[in-house]
Amino acid sequence: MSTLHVINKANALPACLSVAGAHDALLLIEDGVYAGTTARSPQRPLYALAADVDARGLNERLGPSVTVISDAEFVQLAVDHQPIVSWR
Amino acid sequence: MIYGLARMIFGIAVHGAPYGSQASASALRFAEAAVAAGHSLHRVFFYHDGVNTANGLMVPPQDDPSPQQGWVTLAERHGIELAVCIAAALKRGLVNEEERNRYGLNAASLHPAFSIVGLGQLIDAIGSSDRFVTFAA
Repeated sequence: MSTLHVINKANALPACLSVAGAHDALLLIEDGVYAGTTARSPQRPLYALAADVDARGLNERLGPSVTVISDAEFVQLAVDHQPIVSWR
Repeated sequence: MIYGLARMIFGIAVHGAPYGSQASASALRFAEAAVAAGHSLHRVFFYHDGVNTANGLMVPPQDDPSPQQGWVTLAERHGIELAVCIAAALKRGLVNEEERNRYGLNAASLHPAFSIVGLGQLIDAIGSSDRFVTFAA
């Protein structure tokens, strides 16, 4: 099963991308969602948590490769991946 | 995204302080969503600055959502253990009645809904859950 990387600071994304496996998924939460304005993650799914995107007014600013998900979908991502690795 | 029917046991760790970090609030939203989806959550482990969530002497503004009250309500409703790391708690002035007596302190400061535990309970929570999610500071 592939890993879910949870990124809560935008500047943690490059380090995460440098080691993430080809089939891993990445989720931006909290201030990590700022990375969604510039992030490119070809091949790997890149998600951002809706509540944190809304709180920062970034809805219109996220890149086309970013999928915005709800809290319930975050839970489902956690079900679908193992382990769940938190970056900061 | 494929929605499975699997019901899982979740474990959660909170590493950031309420008001200083979003960790406690993010973890609470995740916990509420997990329980709402039918998953179970046996224990939340508060570690590092996350132990400040258990400060029973906080007086949050009434018009501001309090992560602590959210945890207490969720725990009471679903029988979830709110576990606080003893080493992280003691050095931040978070003590229950037992530790207050042991160290001769003026007051106990830990909210009664939280329990003081050792690091072994973190290992146990990781080992006994299907999924373990850490909310970093």
